[in-house]
This record gives sequence, C-alpha cells and structure tokens, in this order.
Amino acid sequence: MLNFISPHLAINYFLLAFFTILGVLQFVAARHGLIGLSLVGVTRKAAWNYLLAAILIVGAFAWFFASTPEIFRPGLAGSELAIIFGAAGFCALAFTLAVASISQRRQCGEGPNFEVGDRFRHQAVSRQQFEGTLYLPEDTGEARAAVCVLPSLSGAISSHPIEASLVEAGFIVLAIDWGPEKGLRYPGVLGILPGVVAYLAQRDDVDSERIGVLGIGLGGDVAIRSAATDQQIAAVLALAPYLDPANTKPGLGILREMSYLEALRWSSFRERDKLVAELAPLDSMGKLGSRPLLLVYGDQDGIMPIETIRATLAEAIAQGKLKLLPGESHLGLPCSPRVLALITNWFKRNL
Amino acid sequence: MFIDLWLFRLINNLAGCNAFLDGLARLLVNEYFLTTLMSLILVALWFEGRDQVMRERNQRAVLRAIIALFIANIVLKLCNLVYFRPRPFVGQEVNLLFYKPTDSSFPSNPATVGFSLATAIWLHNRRLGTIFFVLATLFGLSRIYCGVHYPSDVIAGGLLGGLSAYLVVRKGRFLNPAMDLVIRVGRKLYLA
Repeated sequence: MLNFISPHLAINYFLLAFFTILGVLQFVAARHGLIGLSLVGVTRKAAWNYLLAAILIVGAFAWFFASTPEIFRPGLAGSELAIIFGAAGFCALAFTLAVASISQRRQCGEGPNFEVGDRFRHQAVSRQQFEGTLYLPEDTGEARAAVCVLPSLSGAISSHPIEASLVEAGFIVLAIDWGPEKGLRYPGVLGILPGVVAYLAQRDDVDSERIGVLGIGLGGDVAIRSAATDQQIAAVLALAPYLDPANTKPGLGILREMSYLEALRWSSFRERDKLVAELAPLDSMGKLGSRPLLLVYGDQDGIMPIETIRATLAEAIAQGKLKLLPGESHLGLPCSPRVLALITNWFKRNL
Repeated sequence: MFIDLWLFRLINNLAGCNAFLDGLARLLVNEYFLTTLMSLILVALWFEGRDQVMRERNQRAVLRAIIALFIANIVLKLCNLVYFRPRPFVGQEVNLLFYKPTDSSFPSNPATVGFSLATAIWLHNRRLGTIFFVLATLFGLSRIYCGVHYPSDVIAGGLLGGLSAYLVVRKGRFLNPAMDLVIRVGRKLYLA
C-alpha cells in the first residue's frame, strides 16, 4: 500500500502540498484577521496576505506540473498521497505558527511616551495584601482622586499607556503587580482591592471619597466582584473582563489577538476559568447599586466575539453600561488612543 | 452495457480533436490537481467561521467528509477484491491521453473520492457543495475523455461516494464523540 515508487514524485508532491497549504493559511489569516497565522504582518496588511496566498498556491501548482513529468506515469497511491498531504499540512502549520510568532510582537506600551517610571514621580508599595507601584502627578497640595489599575495577566500587553494617561490627567495611580506567580487564587485575590483602598484612603494626598478601580481582562472581573462588597470603591471601569468561565476558552479566536507562542504563554495560567467562575462577576454587577460601572469591549475582540458580548451583557447594554468600540481588539484596548481618552474622561466625570 | 459503451465512445472520441480540451483534460485527469484542490478547500473550511459556533459546524463537516472518504475507499477496495473489470483500453481502440492503470476499472476511484467529499460538503453547505460537485464531475468526465474509465465506472464510484457520505452525515451520530474529541483537542491547541 505504501511503496512510494517514485521518491522524486513523492518529494515534489510534499513540496506542492506544503506551499499550497502555506498559501491557504495566509488566505485564512487575511480573511479572519488571524495575526497568529500571518507571515507578513498584522491584520491591516491583509492585502499582502492575499497576494502571498495567491502566489504560493498558483506558483506551487505551476512549478509542480512543470517540473514533475512522473504525473503522467503510474505513481503514488491514494493512501500515499493522503499521508504526504497530512505530513506537509503539519509542517506548513508548524512553520506558519513559528514564523508568525517570531515576526509578530506587540509594541504597545513600550514606547518612550509610556515610560511612566521616567516621566512621573513614583514609589514601590508593598503591603501584606498587594505589591505595586504608586505614580504621582505634580504636587498641588490638594487631595486628588486615585485609580487602582489591575493589569491584564496575558503578559502580551502592558498597562503603562493607561497609567501614563491617568497620571497626566491628574489622578494618583496605583498599578498592582500581580499574577499567577504571586499566588493568584480565590478567595485570597479578593483581599487585594480592600487592601489597596485602605492604603490609598489613609494617604493625605488622596481624597478617600474618590477612589476608583480599573481592571483589564481578569483584573476587570476582580474589580467588579471586589467593588460589590467594598463600598469605598466609588467607580469601576473594566476593559474586556471575561465575566463567564466559557469566555476563557477562546480556541482559534485567540490567534486574532496574539501569536501562537504568546497564546501558549497566555494558557499557562490554567486557573483562569476556575477563578472567573468563583468570582462570578455577572452576579456582582447588580450589587454595585448606583455606583458608576463601565464595561469596554472592542467589536473585533478575538477572545470574546461580539455575539458573545451581546448575549452575555444584554442588561448592561440596556442600562448604558457597555461601550463597544468599533475596530478594537481584546488586547489592543489598553493601547488605543481612543480608549485612553475614554478612560480619563470617564474617571474625570465619575470620580 | 451498450449505452455504457456508446456514452464512452461519445466522450472519448472528442479526445485528440481540440488541443485546449486535451490540455484541460490532462490537467484534470491526474491524481494530483483536483484531489489537492479539494483538500485545500477542506483546510480552508476548517478555519472558516466568524465565531466558535460557526467554526465548529464547519469543522464537523470537514471531519464527516474525511470519514466518508475513508469509508468509501474501504468499500471500493473490497469491491476490487471480488470484481475485476478491465480498463477500456484493454481489448479495444481508444483515444488514450493518460498512462495505463492496471487496477480494476469498476468502480472509479477518483469519482468515489470526489463525490464522497462533494456529497458530505453539499449536505452541510449547498453553495460550497455545488463547487465540489462540479469539480468531482469534471474529475469523472476527464477520466472517460482520457480513456481510462467507462461512464458506468464513474457513475458507480459517484454513487458509492455519495452513499457513504449520506450515511456518515445523516446516520453517523455514533461518530459524534470522536468528532467532539478532535475538536476539543483542536481548541485546546488553539487550532479549532
């Protein structure tokens, strides 16, 4: 059944399958904005992906038929073709994921404008319940509103742009340094924000009536749940919180947000779904009473597709607590100038 | 048999009359072009869909098409074990534009492959399925045009592939756990 009587034909067919599958993957990357499958760049360069796909597919067929005279002689059996096609598919996929992982790196939060540590006064804060960095705007002698930032755990994105724009707008900002390596477990995680609020409230430069929380991703879920029980939190803004354990299993959609290597790193925190289930942020949203709450998502979110957001948050949409931003992705939110403006304006109005 | 031979002559006698048609037939008749093209469409279909629900539907269609193809091929091999039909070029004059296969002419292997995939996809997505049917029909016709199959071989192969796909799609609920497993593993690997 497996004789591979013509090694030249077998090798040529492997190359045909490899390059045409590579082309199909580029077509898929362009069609669905999957940056994790794109060899030539992010979604804005979709035209290059389509062009590359066409060149690979047409070029591979043309080369194969021009260079393989064995096509018109007894050659490979169907089972042999299937095995070669499968092997080539595996290699093409592995090659694509590896090259895309090397070439795709998000630059958000790494520019000189976002180096909050260099631009603003700051100090490390370490308490029993949390560790973080406090950023202070220019001292005017009056008590200011403060915002605690719970960054994303993805590791693929920095919250520095948000911290920088908030400090620039005159807020005192406490950025929490947290993560799975710091024992991120329920119910211990619920101790973070009460600890932060207590710390900020006792500072002379903070107006204890004007303390807000901004959470990114899982940080948003923690912020909503903590605010439900801590009345001192005056306002909550959550950027793309998961809200439901089912939303922590994005499947292929995650490659719209990050490269495969970053996705593997993202998945290394295995307790994410369990933690979201324990936090039950959807149940907590109703317990915030009249305190301001805003949920922000992008309509290009690869982890929580727009249909899921609409289905999960019908009530929040009706109450005007959801802002859906066209053209924004899940991990891109903290870098978007539109989102930065939205955040600072919202906290100015609500704190 | 008479109609079969008459149809064969009708189509095969066109070979050698038009260089363009001959070239097209030679492109379509081999085992590499159309089978690879159909497989590439299946690869694209695996990733197709705006959200996870739509993607899962497409992925199930791809898995059913592969299973249908596999089952049809097993039945075809069994047919070949019990019945051997010589190729048209054995014992009569034909316009032969391809090499001389030595295996049984009945049922046609390319038609079985093409129509099993086409039927499985058509039962899931009419538009894409129609494209597959066109490709499968061209595959079968080119085999007659080039003198390596009788029309009845192609029809039998098409029926075998179509029936296999119909049974897998409509009666293959017992396959669901295996497909669930494949999709679950794919999702864990961020590939489904």
